[in-house]
Amino acid sequence: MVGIFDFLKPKQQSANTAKNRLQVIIAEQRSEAGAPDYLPRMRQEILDVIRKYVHVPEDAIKVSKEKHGEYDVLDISIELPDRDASEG
Amino acid sequence: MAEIIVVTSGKGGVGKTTTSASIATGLARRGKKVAVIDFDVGLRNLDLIMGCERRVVYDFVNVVNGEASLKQALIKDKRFDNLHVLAASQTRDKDALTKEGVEKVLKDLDADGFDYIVADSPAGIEKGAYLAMYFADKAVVVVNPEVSSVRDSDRILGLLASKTKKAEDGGRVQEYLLLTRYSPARVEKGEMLSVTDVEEVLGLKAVGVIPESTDVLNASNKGEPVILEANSDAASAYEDAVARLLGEERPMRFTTAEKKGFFSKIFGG
Repeated sequence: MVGIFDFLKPKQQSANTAKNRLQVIIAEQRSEAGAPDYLPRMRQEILDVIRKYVHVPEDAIKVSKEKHGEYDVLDISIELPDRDASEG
Repeated sequence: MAEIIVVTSGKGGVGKTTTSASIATGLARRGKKVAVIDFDVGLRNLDLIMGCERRVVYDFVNVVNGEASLKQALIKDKRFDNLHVLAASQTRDKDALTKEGVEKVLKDLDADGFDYIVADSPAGIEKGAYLAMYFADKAVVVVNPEVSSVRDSDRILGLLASKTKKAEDGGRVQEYLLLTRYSPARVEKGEMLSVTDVEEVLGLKAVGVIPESTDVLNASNKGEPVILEANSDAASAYEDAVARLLGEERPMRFTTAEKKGFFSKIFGG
């Protein structure tokens, strides 16, 4: 119902939320596009091995294949938790 | 050479067939010789939107299989002599179309002197969608200002850049974004992604913005491409999009809400 007190209702600014969510998901989608099929599984296995020794969150590891000139480089980066947090 | 324009989207129900019909008709109205092909094997729809469903005798798959000649299968539009429809087959065999078969039909259309071939892609990213885009020179990616449609169109843009003949040959399919079901009033209220939002997210400029309009359903009820509707914003917006596809510059229309008067603001409407 559109009515007399409409202007009192707070405006829903959901379009902004939509845009932010899309920017995140599309950046991720694009980084995965053209990536080899084995990347997600390999990423999971590396994560499992690391977790035997250090407790790291799911998103602590990033695996991507990049092109540097004529070489394909497998870029693996793992973010370890703060020393205090992990040993304390 | 005939120019091949694929109309695609990934997500279903965003207006691919409506757009294919209107672009093809718009090009024909400008005197171009146009064929519009329904690639949605199993789910024929373009014939209904073009209003020629009672005249389908042979279809795309019949031509590919050599059961009918191209001439027999092309349905001449009742409004424009230079506009032809090739209907989809209703066979349930998804492998009925092959890359070689499609290529031959496109080459034959080219040899027949067609200026434009509009390929109406099925939804999804399966074989039908792949075949519709594979030989394309240009792609019109139809998108609704809505999250799932925008994400899907990004997937389609990725495929256009990798799984097409142009891409395989080291070139690029020319991509165009077409927004449909756009509601300027809702955008101004912050409820709907704006043209700029969608352009920014996808990194592509819009070639057209079609406002949400009751004319689209009316036109499809009648079997008439909406671009032919008189006094219709949607029709004018499609006509603008066709002009821009042909390289004309036109300012974007129908992207701002009509200002409401004092009374309609108070009482709704």
